[in-house]
Amino acid sequence: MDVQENLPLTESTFYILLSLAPGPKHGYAIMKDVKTLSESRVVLSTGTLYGAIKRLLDQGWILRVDEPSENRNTRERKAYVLTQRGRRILEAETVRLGKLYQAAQLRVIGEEV
Amino acid sequence: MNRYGLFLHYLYVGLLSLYPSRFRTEFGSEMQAVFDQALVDAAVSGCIAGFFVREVRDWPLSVLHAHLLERKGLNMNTTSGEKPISWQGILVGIGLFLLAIFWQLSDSLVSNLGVNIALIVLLIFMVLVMLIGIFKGLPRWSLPSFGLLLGGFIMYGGLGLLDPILGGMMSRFVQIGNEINRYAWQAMMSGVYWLLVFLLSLIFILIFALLPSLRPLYRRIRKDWTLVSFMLYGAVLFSFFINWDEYTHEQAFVAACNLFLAIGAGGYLLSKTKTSRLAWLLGGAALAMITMSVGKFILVPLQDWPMWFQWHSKGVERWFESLRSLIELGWMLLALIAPSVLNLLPLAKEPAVEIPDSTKRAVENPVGSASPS
Repeated sequence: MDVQENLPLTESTFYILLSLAPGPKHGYAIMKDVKTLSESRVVLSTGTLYGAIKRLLDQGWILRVDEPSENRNTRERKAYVLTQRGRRILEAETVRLGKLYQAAQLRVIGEEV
Repeated sequence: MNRYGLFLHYLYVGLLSLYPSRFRTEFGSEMQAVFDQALVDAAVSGCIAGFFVREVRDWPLSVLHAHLLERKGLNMNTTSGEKPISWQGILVGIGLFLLAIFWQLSDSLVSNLGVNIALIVLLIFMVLVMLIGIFKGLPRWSLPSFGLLLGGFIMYGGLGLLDPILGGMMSRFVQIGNEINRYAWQAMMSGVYWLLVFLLSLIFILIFALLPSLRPLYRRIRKDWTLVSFMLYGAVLFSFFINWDEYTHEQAFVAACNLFLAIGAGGYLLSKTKTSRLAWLLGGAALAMITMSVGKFILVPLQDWPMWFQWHSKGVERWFESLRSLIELGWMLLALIAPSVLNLLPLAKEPAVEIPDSTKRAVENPVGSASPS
C-alpha cells in the first residue's frame, strides 16, 4: 500500500509516532512526550492514547515489546516501537508538513520579510 | 496514594470495565497503571481536577471507538492475516456435503456396485482432502473431512466398542410402551456422541498446544475457535448417515438436508467474522435437522418396518423419529457453540516480528528513551 494513502495524519497520531521516533517508549512516557512536543496543545487522556495505540498496532505502524527493567524484581513493562512502515509514514508526513511550511514561508513570511 | 486518589483509582477501574473485553485484556492493566501514574503526577502538580475531567470527558468517545473497532473487525473477531478463500477452496469445503448426497442417494439410483463406487469416491475425496490439508497446515476447507473422520471414529471406535454394555443398559432402561424413557435414552445417546466428538477434538487441540512444531495450529485455533466448530460440522454428516439408515423414499429430504449443510459450509467459508461464521454453521445445521424432522414425520408411515411396528404404532413412531431429530439438533448446536470455551485457554506466544535494527539497538540500550522524564 502506498504510504501517501495514509496521509495526512491526525495531530495526535503524528505526535505519537514522533514520540516513538528516537526509540521505544511505554504508554505514560508517550503521553508526557506528546504534551511536551505539542507545547501542551495536545494532551492525551489514557483512553484516547490507548485507542490510538490499538489502531496503530492493528495497522502495523508500531509494535509492542517488553521494556527491559533495570530492577530484576519489578515486572517488565510493555513499550511501543515504530516499525519500518510506521517510520516511513512518519517521514512522509514530515516531508509533507515541510512542503506546507515552505509554501507558507514563501507566500506569507517571505513577503513580510 | 491518599483516600481521594484511591477513590479515583477505583472509579477508573469501573470506567475501564465498559471497554470491550478483548480491549481490556490487551490494554486494561497498562491503562490502569498509566492512569495511576498520571494521577500521582497530577496530585504533585496540584491539578487533579483538570486531569480527571479530561479523562472522564474523553472516556465515552474512547469506549465507543473501542467498541466500533471491535465491530469493524480490527480485532480478534476478524480473520486478520487470513487470505481470502479461493473458489477452489469453497468447492472443496462444500464438496464433502455434496458428495454425501450422491452416496446416500446412490442405493436408490444405481446398483450395489454403484453404491460401492460412490462410497469409494467419497472416501478417496475425504482422505485426499485430509492429506492435502495436513500438508498445507489445515486450511479451513479441509476441516469438515476431519470432523467426519472424528464422527466415524466415535461412532464405531468409541460407542461401537461400548455397544454390548450400552445394549444391556438400554434393554433394562427402555421397555416397550415406556415412551418417556425411550426419549430420555435417545437424548442421552445423541448427547454422548456429541460430547465424545467434542472431547476428542479438545485432546487434539491440547496436543497442538503442547508440541512446538504444531503450535502454529493451536495459535490459529485460539484466534478463531470457529475452526473447531467447522470441523465438528463435518461430524454432522456422520450423524446424518446413521439417521437416514433404513429409510426408503427419503431421497428428496436427504438431498435437501445435505444442501442446507453445504450452504452453511459455503457461508462459513465466505464469512469474515467469527459471529457470522458461527451463524452460518448453526443456520445450516438447524435447517438440515428441521428438514430431517419434517421428513421423518412424513416418511415413517410409508416405511416397511413390520417388526418395529409390532411394538410401536406408526403414529407414536413418527412423532418419536421426528422429535429425536430435534433433540439431536439441540446437542448439535451446543457442540458447535462449545468451542467458544477455547477462549479460556492461554494465548500462545506469537513468533518474533521483524523489528528495525535501529529499534533493536534502542531496546537493548534504552537510555533516555523509555523512562518517563
